[in-house]
Amino acid sequence: MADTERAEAEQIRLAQRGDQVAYGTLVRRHQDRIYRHLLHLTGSREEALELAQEVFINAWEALPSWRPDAQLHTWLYRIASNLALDVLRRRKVVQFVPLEGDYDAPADAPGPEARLSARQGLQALDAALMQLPPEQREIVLLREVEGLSYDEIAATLELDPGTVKSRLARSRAALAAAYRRTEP
Amino acid sequence: MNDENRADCPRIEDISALFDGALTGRAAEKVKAHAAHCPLCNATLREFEAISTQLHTLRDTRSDVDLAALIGPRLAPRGPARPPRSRPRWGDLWQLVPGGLGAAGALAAGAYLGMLLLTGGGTALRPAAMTVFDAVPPGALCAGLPSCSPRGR
Repeated sequence: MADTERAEAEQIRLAQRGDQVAYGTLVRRHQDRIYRHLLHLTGSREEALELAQEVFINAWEALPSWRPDAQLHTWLYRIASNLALDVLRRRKVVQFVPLEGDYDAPADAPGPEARLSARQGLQALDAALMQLPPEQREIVLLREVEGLSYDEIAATLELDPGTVKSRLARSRAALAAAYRRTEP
Repeated sequence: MNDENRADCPRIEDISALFDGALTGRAAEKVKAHAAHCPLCNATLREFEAISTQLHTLRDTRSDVDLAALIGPRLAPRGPARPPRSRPRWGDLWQLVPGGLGAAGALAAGAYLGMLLLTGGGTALRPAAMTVFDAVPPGALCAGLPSCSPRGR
């Protein structure tokens, strides 16, 4: 077990016994990935921030009975996904919220035109993502943005690995088709 | 694209798994060899790669907010863990004496009353129906004039 994993296991143990300082450390370690996942699922900064707080409050309440059979981050993703899907179902119609205007293309892009093109491409991709049903969007995000393995996705979404493989493939194909339609 | 049901193309699941490195061995070689000469599957692989590259740039998204500080006041404090229940000590068994005596007394009283009923020691009530054959019918002070008169008249 790596040092960071050992340290996290210790912080989880302390947090399970009610140590809020240890839990704060865990929150700071995982908050960016949970916020990011919620942001790209819901398309709203405010909603993502609200839901991210709910994720960590729910996790705090459930932590004493949580057993470390899986990794903490897959458990947090699961809570986040469930909350986000509830919100999206209530919302019914998923509105497209364009990627923030302050997005800057990677610094290694060759020039202003290329940077503009990269930015437009990303905005088109974000629009295409929002056209997918939430279940397809979340699996693409978990794989491509969060970098989860098939097994981790299976644990997060409570699916068997075969279903992960087929759902991911169909979601990618759907995203590619939507992207072709929205590409600038 | 291969999801348009071209008979000789591999399934989209296999192309996606190949892209992720989740397809190995002969199955991977087969899909690779096919994609090398199939413009449709080759285009699909390149499309997956282009999308993946762009999506990776979203990994830099940060919350820019200290969520731990935000939720801190909303975390319910947990009470101290309840100590496990200890086994009773033999020295403490005297505490059971009053309750035990009460229970024994109640049992003895019940047994005594039951015995009385079985042995007829109590005042047995005669059923009302049996009194029809008595000299004095039930409810009547006299069965007839003779029985009311000490001399039978």
